[in-house]
Amino acid sequence: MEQTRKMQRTIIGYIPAESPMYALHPVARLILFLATGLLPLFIEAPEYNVLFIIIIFFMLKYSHVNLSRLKIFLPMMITVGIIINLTYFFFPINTEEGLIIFSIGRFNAHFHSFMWAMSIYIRIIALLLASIFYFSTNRERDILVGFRTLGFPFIVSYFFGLILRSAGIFLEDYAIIREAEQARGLDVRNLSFGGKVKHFSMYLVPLFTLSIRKCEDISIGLFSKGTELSGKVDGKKRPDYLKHKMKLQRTDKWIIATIIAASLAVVYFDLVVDSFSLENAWLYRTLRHTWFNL
Amino acid sequence: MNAIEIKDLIWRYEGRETPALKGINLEIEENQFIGVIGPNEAGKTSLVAAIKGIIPENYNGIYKGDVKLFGKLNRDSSPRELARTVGMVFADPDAQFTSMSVEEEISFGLENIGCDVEEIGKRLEWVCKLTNIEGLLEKPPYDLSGGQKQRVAIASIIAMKPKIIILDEPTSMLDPISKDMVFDLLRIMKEQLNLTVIVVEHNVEKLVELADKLILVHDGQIEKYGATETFFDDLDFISEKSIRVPGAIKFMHMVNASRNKGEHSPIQLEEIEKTVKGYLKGDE
Amino acid sequence: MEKSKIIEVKDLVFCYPDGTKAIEDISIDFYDGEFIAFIGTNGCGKTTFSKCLNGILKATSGTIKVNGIDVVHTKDCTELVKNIGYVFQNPDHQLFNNNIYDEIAYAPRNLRIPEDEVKQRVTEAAAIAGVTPEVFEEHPFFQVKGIRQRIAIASILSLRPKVIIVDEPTTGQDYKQSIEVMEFLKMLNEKHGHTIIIITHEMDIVAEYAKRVVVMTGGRVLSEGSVQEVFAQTELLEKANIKPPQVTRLAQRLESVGFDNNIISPEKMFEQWRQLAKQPVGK
Ligand SMILES: Nc1ncnc2c1ncn2[C@@H]1O[C@H](COP(=O)(O)OP(=O)(O)OP(=O)(O)O)[C@@H](O)[C@H]1O
Ligand SMILES: Nc1ncnc2c1ncn2[C@@H]1O[C@H](COP(=O)(O)OP(=O)(O)OP(=O)(O)O)[C@@H](O)[C@H]1O
Ligand SMILES: [Mg+2]
Ligand SMILES: [Mg+2]
Repeated sequence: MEQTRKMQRTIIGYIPAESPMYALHPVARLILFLATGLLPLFIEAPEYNVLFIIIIFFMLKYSHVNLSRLKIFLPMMITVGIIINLTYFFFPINTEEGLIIFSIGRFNAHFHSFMWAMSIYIRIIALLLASIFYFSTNRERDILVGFRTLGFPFIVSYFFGLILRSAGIFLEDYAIIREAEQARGLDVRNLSFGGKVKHFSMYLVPLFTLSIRKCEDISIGLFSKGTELSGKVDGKKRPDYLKHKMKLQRTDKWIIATIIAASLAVVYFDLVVDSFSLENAWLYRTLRHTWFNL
Repeated sequence: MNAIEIKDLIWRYEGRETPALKGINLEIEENQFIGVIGPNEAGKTSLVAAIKGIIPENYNGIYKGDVKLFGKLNRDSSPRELARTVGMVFADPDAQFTSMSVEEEISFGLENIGCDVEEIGKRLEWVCKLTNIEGLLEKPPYDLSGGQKQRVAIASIIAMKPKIIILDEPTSMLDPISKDMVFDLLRIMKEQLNLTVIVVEHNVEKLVELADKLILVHDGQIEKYGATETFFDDLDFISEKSIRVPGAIKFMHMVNASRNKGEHSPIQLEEIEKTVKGYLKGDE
Repeated sequence: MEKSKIIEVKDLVFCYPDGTKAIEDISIDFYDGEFIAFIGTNGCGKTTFSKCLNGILKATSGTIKVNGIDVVHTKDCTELVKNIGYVFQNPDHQLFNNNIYDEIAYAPRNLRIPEDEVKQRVTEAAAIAGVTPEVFEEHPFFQVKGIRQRIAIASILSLRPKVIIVDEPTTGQDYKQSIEVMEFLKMLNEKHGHTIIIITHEMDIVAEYAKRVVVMTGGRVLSEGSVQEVFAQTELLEKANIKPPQVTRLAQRLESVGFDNNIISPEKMFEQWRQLAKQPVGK
């Protein structure tokens, strides 16, 4: 059959069939993920994190990720935003300054709390987008190879792999069972919320029975492939074909070095120079100036 | 030398009243192609699982008797030693897919038995060509059709080059020509690599072409064990045991019965063709 | 005799979400009361095609009409399942109730059919499928494969669909059980007037039971026709990785001595042999 596919399925969603990202070694991608996801947590100033988000968007675009799939995260992003803002509205911090944007009844919207909520929100969004980016450009095996190259022992990656595989089997069975229900006239759209819950609990019985059966089968499969739970074979280190096949290239090394250097710089400027604190942020000071003339 | 020796093997699954294997005695010589046939629930899978050592290793139950592979008791061997001697392909290809891509699936077993990475690369290439799955290496299990999964399962075992290969209904989901390809492959492997091949199959047609000997399992016992050539001489006995007799053999028997001269019925398609042509010529 | 069309498929295309074009372009009609077999290469789209027919998968483009209902655009799944039922290859995927009675009653209950009629339908479907009322209280999961398969079929039968599609009904079954399943489908076809579609890789089964064969390859229909017609086209079949049944191949090898090349059963073959062998005797 002719090759027409544009995307490839993973447990979590889809990844593009082709992407410039695939030229990078999994470990470079993993480090990129760790940096893009974790660095914003060090940075309080919203404008830098917005910059981060923009960069991630460019990377998504550049890697051919289907951006329309991001829509499904929109409700979640909005809900998180509302929750964070409400929390800081009702439980404000650093109120002694007394800068109030507006009031409802006896509740006041404090300027500092508002800015703090915004800072946290944007950091969460950055982390979320970085995760989406990572899981939209990496398959299960890239993730595993990434971890193994970072030096995680065989046992860890073995169990992680098995968990992924079981999750895959579970989801596959779930999808087929849903199709089977549909074939027998069940229209989920017509069910009330209570009905949906009850009906989901009905799935669980066959799903778990099937899963248990299949897990038994898999353990037999592992046995028959001669699996022994140690990182050694006949006293030598266990060979690792994928890790061997995917070698770090010059570009990978450069990228990793750059990311690490940049991360160290960010941490340095944050902890020692304190460049990224909220109070020093350009946005914070501008808004403070425009609203309160301070 | 005998590749497999089974003595007085009795096996009962926990929670079952009757044993699944009721006193099996069996000797299989090295470098033979053995077909195992029999009705559902007869104990075929249990028998081959006992050879591989899955029984008693992975199941609870009562086990009596000995299974020896090349003279060594299989319950004394470690999983790794067993994997080097005997490989098994299961009926349900999903069941043994333990990794997230075809490439990993095949290399995983090779890593387990300690092949070095260069060798793994070579064997991957070799086995993918043999089983015709070159285009699938990157794919995860849920992107393969049933037939493709079966092929990958077979490839991952062949790659380990064990001395005995057991296949439990390995081609049930394959289309006819792919079925042939798998069987022909097994034949080539048997000859080139000096393997002992054991195939459990409901489809007798292909076994008849390739197997040196057939085993008929029925109700936990070995009902008949003998050369393929003469296995179908008593057709009624075979059909009684819920075995589908291939059409051409059935026809040949009808012909010989109607001639009533006590001729032996051949079972290979070419021979049947020759015999029938011969009869027609001779009768003229 | 003019038979009425039960399924009309026109320019059907189906792509999976990841872009795999599993059905390239299929146009075909099926008639009321036919016994049809889909055969073809692994991955040629047989399963996908049948899932499109009963609306589990929504066609990407083209039209499918089952008994006049537009499968692709209908919002009313219940009308659809009353007309066409699909039995999955692995019965374990469609058994999710705690006892066999509920299992068979599940589909009619989904259609909000009154409970006394449900009961009547369950009894009827179970009787047809050979599931005895004594086991109604047992758990479907712990039956042997043959029985599980029948429960799966019975649970579709209780919908009384006009068309029943069964995906690989004989895989992993021995001769006796295969025959039982197939005889059962044959009975549904002949006595109860259901249109039956089976998907299978076993050509003996096709030869013995199907009336019409659809050969598929690469998401298209390569050829179709009666069993004899299709199995006589050896070269074409090879493109779809199909080998005719063994007797047919023997007959084709013996064509030069007077056998027909489209024989599909040993009995028929023997009949011809008698004629051929007796001719010289009669001289
Ligand atoms: N895991 C198990 N636990 C309990 N009983 C089992 C188990 N597996 C098989 N049995 C029982 O052991 C007997 C032999 O089963 P086995 O699977 O060996 O038969 P088989 O010849 O392979 O059948 P099939 O053709 O259906 O694969 C059967 O009665 C079966 O019910
Ligand atoms: N969920 C899916 N996502 C993407 N591609 C799929 C999916 N299911 C099947 N395919 C692909 O669609 C094509 C048709 O698959 P289908 O299962 O219909 O084949 P089939 O004719 O039933 O094969 P088999 O004889 O092996 O059962 C195959 O190439 C398969 O890889
Ligand atoms: Mg079995
Ligand atoms: Mg299929």
